[in-house]
Amino acid sequence: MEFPLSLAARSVEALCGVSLIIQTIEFLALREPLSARGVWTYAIGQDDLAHASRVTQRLFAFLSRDEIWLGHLVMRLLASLALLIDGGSLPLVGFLFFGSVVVLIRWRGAFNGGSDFMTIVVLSGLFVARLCCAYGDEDFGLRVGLIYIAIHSASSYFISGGVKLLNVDWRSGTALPLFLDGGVYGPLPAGSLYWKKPIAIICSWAFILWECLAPLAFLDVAFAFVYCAVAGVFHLLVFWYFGLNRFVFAWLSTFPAIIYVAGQLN
Amino acid sequence: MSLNVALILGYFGFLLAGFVLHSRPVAHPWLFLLRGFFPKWQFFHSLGQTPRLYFRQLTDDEWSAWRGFTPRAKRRLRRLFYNPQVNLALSEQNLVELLASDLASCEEDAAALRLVSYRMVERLVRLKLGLMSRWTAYQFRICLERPGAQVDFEKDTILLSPVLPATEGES
Repeated sequence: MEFPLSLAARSVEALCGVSLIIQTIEFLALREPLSARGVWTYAIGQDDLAHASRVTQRLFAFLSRDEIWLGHLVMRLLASLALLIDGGSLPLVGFLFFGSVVVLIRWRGAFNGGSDFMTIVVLSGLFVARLCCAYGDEDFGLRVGLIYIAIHSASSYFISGGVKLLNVDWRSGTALPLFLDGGVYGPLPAGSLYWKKPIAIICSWAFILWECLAPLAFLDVAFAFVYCAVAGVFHLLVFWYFGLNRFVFAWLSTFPAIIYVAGQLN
Repeated sequence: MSLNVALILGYFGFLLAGFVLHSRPVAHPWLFLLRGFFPKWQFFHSLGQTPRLYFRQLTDDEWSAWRGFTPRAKRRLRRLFYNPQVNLALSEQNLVELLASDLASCEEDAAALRLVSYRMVERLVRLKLGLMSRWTAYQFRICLERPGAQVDFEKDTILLSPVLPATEGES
């Protein structure tokens, strides 16, 4: 069974559009922390760019002005909507890619950690794909973009599982309840099931094994579908327990790429 | 074994080797700002000490008790689609962690006060206190807390700020 290239690329674009819409609406609500009155005011943040050229510094000083920032976010919202509804083009994806880089630099490299990074991965893949489409072979470009996204997505699970596997606190079930306890929805109630050692060990090992099995997704399209379905549930759990809503949509947009690559390899 | 399977196994074997072999970290201001292009994909990996922010304010010549900043929220399903305040709170905690990381590579105290992360945390505390009336000065500290353990200010403090005036720019 194969996942057609154009459908896979279109699915990634649409899901990435949804992810960017949610992120941008949140950024629109969070303009105050970046304003002159906020914690991330450019008056302080400009020192991060002390090493940069004068042109770059002046560019970021301009982009950081409140009204310019608002305009950028509104344009980003419209571009994300266009990506969802109508698909990508080189100027559209290029604007979203470079705009996301500017947003990240303004938040000192990351606002929401992994979800920012996966968003950049997806936009990089789509940007490379659209560059190739514009100046070369369309199918080749889309294929390269999807492979790039799929490799990063599967690697993210594998590496995350691998470091847990090597960590004794995860293997013994000690880490999970303590992370939940310190999380945004913590502290864990004294009677929580997660404090019970057998439950914590079973949950921890379920996560570790599932994450480490990420390479299996590429062995068969059916495996890829099942892996992505479980991954969707996994990210919903991460949202429910740690409040990381952006992770759900950032990773969701990579799943069509994983399924497409699995189809190509078999 | 097909070439594709061999390539897949080879790639993930390469990643596996990365868990054991540690390379020297490369530091550059642009790499810090563009770290989104070099993700490490290590989430919730180890139970290290967590940098935690504490602050207190001076009101009528009397210091309040130290209060800790821990991002907390109530769980709501609708936050799946719109969650700015929780994401901001997590970002504020990340800022505290960045300051702790910057302090580890800071050789003199005076340099610490010029750090971008220090000045942002200073402002964060000021804004957290902003809603309270009549305070005239404040102070904050960063402690490295062990998970599940009670903080010990004597042992766990890695930064104690000077006493800072209520109005920015007076110090």
